[in-house]
Amino acid sequence: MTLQNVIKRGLELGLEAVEVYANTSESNTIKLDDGKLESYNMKEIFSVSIRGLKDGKMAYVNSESLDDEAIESVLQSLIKNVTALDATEPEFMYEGGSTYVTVPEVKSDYKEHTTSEKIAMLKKLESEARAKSDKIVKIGYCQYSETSQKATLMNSKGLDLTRELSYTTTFLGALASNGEQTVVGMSGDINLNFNDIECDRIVEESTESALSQLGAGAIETGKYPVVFKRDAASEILSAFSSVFLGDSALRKMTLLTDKVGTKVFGDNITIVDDPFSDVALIKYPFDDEGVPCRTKNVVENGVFCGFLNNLKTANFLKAEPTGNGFKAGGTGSITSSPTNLYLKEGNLTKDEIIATVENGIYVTEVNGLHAGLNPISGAFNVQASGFVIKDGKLDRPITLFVVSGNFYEMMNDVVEIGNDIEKRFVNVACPTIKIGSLAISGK
Amino acid sequence: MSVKHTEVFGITEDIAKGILEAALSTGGDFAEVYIENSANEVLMMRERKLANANASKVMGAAVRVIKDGTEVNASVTDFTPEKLMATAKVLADSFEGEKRVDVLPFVEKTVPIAVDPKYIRGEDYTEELKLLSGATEGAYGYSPEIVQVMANLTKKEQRIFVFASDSTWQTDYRCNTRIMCQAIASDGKDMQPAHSSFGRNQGMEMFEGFDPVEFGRNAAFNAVEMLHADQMQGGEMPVVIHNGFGGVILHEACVHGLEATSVAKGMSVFCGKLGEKVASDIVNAVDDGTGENLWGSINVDDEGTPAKRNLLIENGILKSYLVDKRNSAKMNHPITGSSRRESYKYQTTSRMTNTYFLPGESTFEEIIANTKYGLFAKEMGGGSVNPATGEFNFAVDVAYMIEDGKITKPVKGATLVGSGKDVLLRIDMIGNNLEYGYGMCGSMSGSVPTIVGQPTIRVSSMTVGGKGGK
Repeated sequence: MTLQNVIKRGLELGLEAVEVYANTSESNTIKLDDGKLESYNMKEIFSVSIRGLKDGKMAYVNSESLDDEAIESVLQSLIKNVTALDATEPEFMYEGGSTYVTVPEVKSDYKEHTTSEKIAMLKKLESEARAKSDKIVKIGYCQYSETSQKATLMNSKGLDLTRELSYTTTFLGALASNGEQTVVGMSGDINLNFNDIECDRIVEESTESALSQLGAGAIETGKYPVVFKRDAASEILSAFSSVFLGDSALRKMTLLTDKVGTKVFGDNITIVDDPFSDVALIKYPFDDEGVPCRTKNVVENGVFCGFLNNLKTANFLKAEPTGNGFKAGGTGSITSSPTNLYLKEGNLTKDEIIATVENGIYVTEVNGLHAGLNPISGAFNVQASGFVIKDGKLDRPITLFVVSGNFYEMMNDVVEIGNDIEKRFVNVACPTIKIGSLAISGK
Repeated sequence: MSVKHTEVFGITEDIAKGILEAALSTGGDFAEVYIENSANEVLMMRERKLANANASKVMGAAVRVIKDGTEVNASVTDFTPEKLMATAKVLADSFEGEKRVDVLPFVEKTVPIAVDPKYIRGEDYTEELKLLSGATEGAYGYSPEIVQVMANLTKKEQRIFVFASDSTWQTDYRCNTRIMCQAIASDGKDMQPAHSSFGRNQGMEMFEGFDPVEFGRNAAFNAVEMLHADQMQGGEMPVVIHNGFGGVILHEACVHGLEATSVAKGMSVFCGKLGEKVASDIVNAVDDGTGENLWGSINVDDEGTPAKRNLLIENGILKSYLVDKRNSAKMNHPITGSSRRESYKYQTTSRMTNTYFLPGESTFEEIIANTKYGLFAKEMGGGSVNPATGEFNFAVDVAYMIEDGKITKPVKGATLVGSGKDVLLRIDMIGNNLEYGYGMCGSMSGSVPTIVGQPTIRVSSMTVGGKGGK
């Protein structure tokens, strides 16, 4: 069945409007273990998400086949579900005809390179990493993936859009050991063209990160100034980015409800959602509802400017849609999500920030954010590793401590902001930041 | 399975044999095809209204060939015999060589039934809505401080068929059904969520005798209790971890490090430790995929091997890893019937099913009374581990202090961190009150339902994180 016929059949069954979101993706993943090809994995996945509107209510179904029987079966489920729903906040389907910003293609040349070239690249990564030190005892993860996706968004109100992208990801995890302790250092690169993959950097970062953590010990429980490496800071900002979403306001899952236009963070905090960001990997002309994307400040000099909205949450909050209606994973309901969200850079380098700390902690890695972090209350208690900072310099490595705080309090206590946002970031990024004081639990 | 299947998803034995022969034509040692047809359903009630009702179908196949330890795999949504044959040929082309092994005649094993879902859904959602409304009212009814209640019911019905060159020819039918309720308490300034969860690999008949109101009320109780709790003051101390979902400590701190995905690559702190002491003498632990209709149970795993009860730790000694077909040869270790994948989109590998500490001899009261000072972790949240270093963390959702052998004030924001190889050796008391908790475990082969379970245990010393203060 064609996508047009899916829409037609949905309307025949009594839906007022029907939308299809079809996704074709191809990916290949190569993994090496001890210099040997461990696995080669290919994927060719098709899925179509169909949503239908009736009496202001919307239900969603998903199928991985377009054959008549499969589509009829999911459309029948859709009718059953849309009827069963209670009327909550009104739902909308976007009409075609908008003008969209033209964005650069996100296109990789990986198809022009052979599998042997890719395996050779991984072998080189592995051997160069091992050669860095005899303390590098194993390369635990050595992996390259290439992905291309094509999405088509089409509805009965005239919307007809397509989006294509392709990219590569490379990932290396080096194990260092001193006989008693084993530590892992990771690094990776998301890039477009095969020859641009930053192999030297990946090798350097993963081995340096492992070697420098060897001999890590415990830290005394107490309150310390904390510098977050940009990776760790990005993970924390990403985990709390849900506080800025219209969907969270609708579900009463953010403390920012009723705070639009008021000061919520320190004067030095500006957070931007920029679908066209030069430093982000992916640029978004439109969201998964077909609404044009646009650049906006989420927080400006500490003042909360407004939620990131899809059509439903914008109507609920009596605000403008912001082009932030996205489907998690390409299936399921539209929720709200950032495009490319980042904390605006300051002036200092990472080293200059560390130099401002007399006695504190440099956190290089945080773990367990899905459990130790509560976006509703803002509380976080996360496992971390890093270094003691003494007299402005990195001192001994430390591990297995917990960094605790509250996101809202922390964003009022950011004393330094770095100038080092990651290039080609995906979704959320943060430069190195220094927090005045956070609770550290250790021995 | 008493019924023998001669044709599944349009695949006859002849077609199957042809596909596998093509896959092995360049010298592969093993070839396998996994086909899946699944239906997922999610109903979500928010603030007493059915706000979401979504359905999805997942259909596709994974074909793989293993030669000298290298696995080539293809996951495809199109699983017509022609596409499977073409895919098998593409995979075979990634190796060079002559045919080395024959496809063995298929044998469908008779498997004892562990999982037998009976009644999946009625004509409409009457029964489902009754459960969701019950949980919602139970939560709202507990306290005026409950400002938001979301209850959802998910069903994942999965039919799988796997055939392989080693004579495997098996089907399985599963239906993972789970109800969850999240309540958010607020005093106008702060907000605190808490949740309840219950799931089985069974149809709607699992709710016979289930009290949704009490289930919702439990979530609300925990949310309100924690809203008014002081912040945990971090430090090192004895920790009593309560039964049920507390078993996440075994799951994270140890058993992820027993999975062949880590062990076969030399990436686990438990490598080379079979037969050695890894836990204190009172510790016994199993991974058991055979429990009747349990959340993490299966009849056969995703390689077609019947589920097993695997004794992992006996009196503190490590007895077994969790091993799939591919790693079995590499590790010279028996297959444990626990190779799993979220769907055909993932490569299957060794995973957990229902994992728990076996009961000990202490009563819950004795454990508390014997603890002078420490943390009582009543309800655990999720966690994670790095199997290569053994370093783990997990969040405590509901906790109390223990002072002079008594449970005293509630505390929030506690996180436990440690190293897997130390924490099991520090378990010094185990209760007689085994309970199960219901989780989704995310790892290399996707997200799969697993039970984490245990009786109440005491760890003599752990690092507890928390910011302190009100």
